[in-house]
Amino acid sequence: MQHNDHSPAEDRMNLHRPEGMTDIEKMHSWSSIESRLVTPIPFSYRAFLGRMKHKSVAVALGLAILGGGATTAFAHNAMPGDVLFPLAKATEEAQILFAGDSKKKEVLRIKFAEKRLAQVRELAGSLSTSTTTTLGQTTGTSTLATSSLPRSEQKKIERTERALRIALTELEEARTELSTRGSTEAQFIMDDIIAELRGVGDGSVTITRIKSDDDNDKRKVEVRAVVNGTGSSTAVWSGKVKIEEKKNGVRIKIEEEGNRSSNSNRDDNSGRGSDDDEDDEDEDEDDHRGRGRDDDDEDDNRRNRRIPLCHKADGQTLTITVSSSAARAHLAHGDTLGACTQPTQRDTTPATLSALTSTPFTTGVTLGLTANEDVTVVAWVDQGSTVNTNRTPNATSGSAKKVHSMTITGLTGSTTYSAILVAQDKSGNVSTSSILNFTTPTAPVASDNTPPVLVTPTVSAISTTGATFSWSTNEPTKYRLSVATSAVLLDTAPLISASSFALAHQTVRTGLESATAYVLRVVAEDGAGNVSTSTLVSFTTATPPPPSDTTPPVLSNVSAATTTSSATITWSTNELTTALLFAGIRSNPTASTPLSIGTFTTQGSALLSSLSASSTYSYVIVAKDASGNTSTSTLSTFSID
Amino acid sequence: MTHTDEFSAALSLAKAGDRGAFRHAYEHSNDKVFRFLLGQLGDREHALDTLQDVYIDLWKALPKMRIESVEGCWGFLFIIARRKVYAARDKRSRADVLVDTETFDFLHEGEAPNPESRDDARVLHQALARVSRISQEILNLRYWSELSFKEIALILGTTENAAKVRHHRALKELHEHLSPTYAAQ
Repeated sequence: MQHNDHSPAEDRMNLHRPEGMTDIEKMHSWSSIESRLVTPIPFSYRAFLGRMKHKSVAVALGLAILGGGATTAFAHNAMPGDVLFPLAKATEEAQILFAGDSKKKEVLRIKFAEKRLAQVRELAGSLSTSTTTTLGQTTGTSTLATSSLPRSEQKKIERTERALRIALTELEEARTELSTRGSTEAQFIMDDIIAELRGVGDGSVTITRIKSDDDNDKRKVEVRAVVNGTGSSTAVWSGKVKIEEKKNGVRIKIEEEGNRSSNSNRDDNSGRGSDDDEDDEDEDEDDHRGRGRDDDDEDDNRRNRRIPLCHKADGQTLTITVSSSAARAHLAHGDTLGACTQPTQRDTTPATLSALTSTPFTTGVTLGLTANEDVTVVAWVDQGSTVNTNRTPNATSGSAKKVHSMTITGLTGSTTYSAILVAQDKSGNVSTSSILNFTTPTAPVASDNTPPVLVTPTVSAISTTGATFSWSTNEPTKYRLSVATSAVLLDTAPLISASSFALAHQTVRTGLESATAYVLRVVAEDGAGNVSTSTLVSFTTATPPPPSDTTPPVLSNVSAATTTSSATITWSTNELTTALLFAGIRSNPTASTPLSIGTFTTQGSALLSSLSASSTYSYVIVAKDASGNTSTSTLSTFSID
Repeated sequence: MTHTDEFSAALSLAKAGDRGAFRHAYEHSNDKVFRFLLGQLGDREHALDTLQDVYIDLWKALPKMRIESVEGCWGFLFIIARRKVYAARDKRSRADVLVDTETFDFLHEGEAPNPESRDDARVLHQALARVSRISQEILNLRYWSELSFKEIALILGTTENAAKVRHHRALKELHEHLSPTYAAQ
């Protein structure tokens, strides 16, 4: 070997080398190969047919055997004793044969029996072609040098024997059933089949193998296998046969005479004490067998491990127990692990529903459900809190499965609904869910791609430093407003913005230059982000008033013209003024009540009357121009003579 | 010529029309062929069917066969098997069959006595599925069909040395696809 450095990968490859074919697979494969080689299989059933006593049985068996023949002998891997598995072709043949019989059950029973026969025959046929195999001969004691038989042959014998045993058990059961039904004719046929299988006379089944080797090693090999007919009957044989299935084949041990009766438990039939001396190991194995299979060494135990399967055929299910090697073939054609759930009884348990969910959306709802078995589901949905199921369902699931999800559309948003789911399993059992209440959500606003309509803003209350702008939009908007002295500066101008939405807007902009032309732009944005920009609006701030008059008027030409009892005071101003004339005999005329001259004039005059003679009066004129600037004349006096 | 090997001796007799000898040859070789087919096809039923075709083809081809060496016999048989694999693959779309853990455990419980070993086997199978076709074939032939490099070389139509090199590469490739912890065990 080139690679002495055993890498982990290498070790794993060796460790997990797959199991080869099982012996039975090898046997079947070979049979299939041989049947396809040029010459026909030399095995003949003529002797078997020749001993048919009952004509109809002969016909039936003939069909089963010849019709099954080479084409179907190995249609299936499973055999009686391994797996009870129908041999399809032979079954069909039997159906044709008994088609005229109105009693369908009987036909099926017989068909079943024939199937078993065919399988037994098939097993027998797989024995080496260089020997003669005869079924049903039973006389005489056996002498067998088992060690001279190849192991593969021994194993086949063992399998055939086992097949016979199981087949017979089934046939007996079938016969009993026919008997209770009073189907005498069918029962008669069945009896013949059973008798044929059992052999004539002593009620045991014997497979006798006689191998004659002409050349040198002349030996007579007779294997007697004993089969229990029914559970109550006992089988008798004249030689003890012990067959052990080993990893690589079968050991057959024959004990000397000593007729022995046995009840139906075949496995406990192992002989003790007088084993042949052919094989020392066998004794050891014998002990194991005596204690039962479970005590076998681990390897055997694993190999012999029986696995329950749910076998599916012809739409029916049947729980069977097969060896792990045979189980593979079964799994491959669709059987499932574990016992069938109530294979013959009708399933009356409705599915258990769980994980009921309702996921509403604005226009519908998705209803979810998980069942513990495959179910079909229908669903009703009604508005409100009750559901009317007396109508066409709103939704129907397709195929049966465990997990369902159904979507029902056509619902209205913001509405409360109720739903009921009804699940039906394959056997028609119905489970009804509790009422599922749900409320569809509010439909979202349809997406808005329409910009708001913006009415051109108006400008009001224009002052020298600001203005008020007003506008409206057709939908709630927020805005950004900018004012600048020219359109190109709008983008850089400070923004007035509002983040709240409104239809009518008014805002005041202050801080503008007076008597300046401005442009205004409003950008309105609706809730969806659509934007409208106003046309540019021009306005000019107010011109400020001219600078105010702070110069007091200039009084001049103040003079008094007196009479005997009056005086006329005249004055001139350089601008239009009103005036106040304070006059009195006291030196502080302003303390007296003034004489007001309210008319703006530049030539003011006032008449002071009712003056006292021989008095000196003093007076002051206060001139006030339109801006309120005042000038006060110097204190002057006049005298009344 | 004289035959020191059962297999080539049986085939020589079978070539002369001896069915019994052919059966002997079948019994002698079917495990190796079956393991190869199983490894290549990944499906037991399919492997069983293909196995039958292989031996029928072998029977048909026997008259043309030159039985010169044991290696030659194995090579001849496996060339047929390999051809069948390729034909089968052509026929069947090579959809990968996903085997869940439970099924895998069940199918392999015979080989692996404990869960750890089954996990181990699963990792190996996953890694094998990832290596190249030729590597997978070589590993199959070498470890599962237990053929010599000389026989593998005949099957692959190459030299013994080239077969060794390919085998080495295949191991390396497989090793790379095994997780580090797995490989270190």
